[in-house]
Amino acid sequence: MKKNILLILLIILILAILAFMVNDLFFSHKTQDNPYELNTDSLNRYDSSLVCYKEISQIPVDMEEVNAISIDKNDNIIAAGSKLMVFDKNFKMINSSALTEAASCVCVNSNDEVFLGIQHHIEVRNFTGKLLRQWNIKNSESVLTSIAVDESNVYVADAGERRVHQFDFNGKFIKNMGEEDSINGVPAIIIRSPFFDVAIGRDQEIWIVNPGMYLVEAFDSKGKLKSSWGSSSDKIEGFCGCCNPTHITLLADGSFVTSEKAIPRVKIYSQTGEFKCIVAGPDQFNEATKGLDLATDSKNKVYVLDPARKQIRIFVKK
Amino acid sequence: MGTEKDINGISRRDFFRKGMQWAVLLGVGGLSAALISKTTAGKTVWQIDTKKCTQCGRCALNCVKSPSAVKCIHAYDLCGYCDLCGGYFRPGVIMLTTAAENQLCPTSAIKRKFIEEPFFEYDIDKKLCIGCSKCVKGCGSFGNGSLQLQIDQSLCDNCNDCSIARNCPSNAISRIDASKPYLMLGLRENNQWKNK
Repeated sequence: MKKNILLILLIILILAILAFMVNDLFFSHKTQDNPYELNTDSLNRYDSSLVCYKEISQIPVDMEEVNAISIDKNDNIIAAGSKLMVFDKNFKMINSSALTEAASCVCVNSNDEVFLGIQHHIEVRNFTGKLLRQWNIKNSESVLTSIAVDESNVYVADAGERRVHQFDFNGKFIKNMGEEDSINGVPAIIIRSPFFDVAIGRDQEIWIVNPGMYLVEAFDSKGKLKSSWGSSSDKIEGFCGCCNPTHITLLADGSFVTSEKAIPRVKIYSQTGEFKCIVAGPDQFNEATKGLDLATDSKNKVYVLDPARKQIRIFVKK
Repeated sequence: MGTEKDINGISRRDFFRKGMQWAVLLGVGGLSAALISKTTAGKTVWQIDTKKCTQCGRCALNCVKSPSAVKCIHAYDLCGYCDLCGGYFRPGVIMLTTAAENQLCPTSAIKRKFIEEPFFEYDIDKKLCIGCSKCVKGCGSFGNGSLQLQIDQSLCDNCNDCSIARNCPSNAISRIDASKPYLMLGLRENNQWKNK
């Protein structure tokens, strides 16, 4: 009797093993994970409660190469690349004019003169695209990545030269900023990719991004380094990748808007550099989007130029 | 009765002799022509188009060579010499040290060398590299994309039907002119961004 029970149990066991093998061989559709595939999805996750802005509109930018954005005192929006396009504050296009060479950076002064960084020269045009004047940057290795203006000066960020050139409005060279100052122990700006931004602060201080060190640095009118903030981190509070932030702009209260590459995202930092909140997370951009130029208007709306989607995307505070 | 001469005046023996001569001549000529055409025709090799490559990791698994003839090659001109290198360190790593648990490469084929603050140089040990592309994806995602996957022509058997080309999900592998056997981005003179 015992033998029979044992035999039955053994047969059941063998049948179960056979059923498992048949199922595993013929009916299992498990996809084998590639052991060598690098998954970086975890770095793109963020706490959605930190998002403090919402997207309200997009302006399509119909040009082959879309590189830069700026906003004037009347909230007119200027987009530059292979064209110079001007939109009014209601997002209606005022003018579109083709450029002979693509502009890599743009800004506008209080006289509505548009300053464009193109290859190795600066062009000054009006809103209709008429060329008013131009001057050359005398270095073949220059890579102009950003341009900013205050009441009387033009600041041109040159990623090739790793410094910011200061000119007057007519192109007269004044000085360079961000150079290595070994006497005072100020190291050179570290730039590892063609992203290097400059912006003007509330007190006319010049904010220059040091992307290789994950810093945003303030210089006074004499070109002296006054302060800096920023840190490297995989977490949302810091800047990730080889070199970030790629772009900055300031809100009316002096807080900073930053954009990054590698993990494409736009964030807000306080006047002293503490992380405040997220404008747009990585899930709101196409994969590997880079070059998110920024601008803000008088109502503290944040304008993000999305070169992958060829749109100016407008965000307002929730 | 058989006769030595046919109606055209050619004997059967001559006919066979001439036939054999022509056959040998044609054979030798054809062989020569084939050899000449093979030596003068443009030779091609298999190579990866770095623009199309999605770093799926299959090059390490599908090459008939073991380890794979696909290797990571470093375009130093493009490299940012970063401290926090996306091709060297695992994502989310806490300490930027050369400890094995911090390294992305499964075979520790990347050597990290301090140059000066804050610059580090990264060299690939070809013997250890298995062409898995983890570092290539990390570098492309977080850096300038200076680490690139290429078929090492000194190791490739140049099979007629390349196994990795057949399994490539993005059709990034194709035959190219052997006189220019590499398709790396950083080696092009008109490269848009070049680190000094």
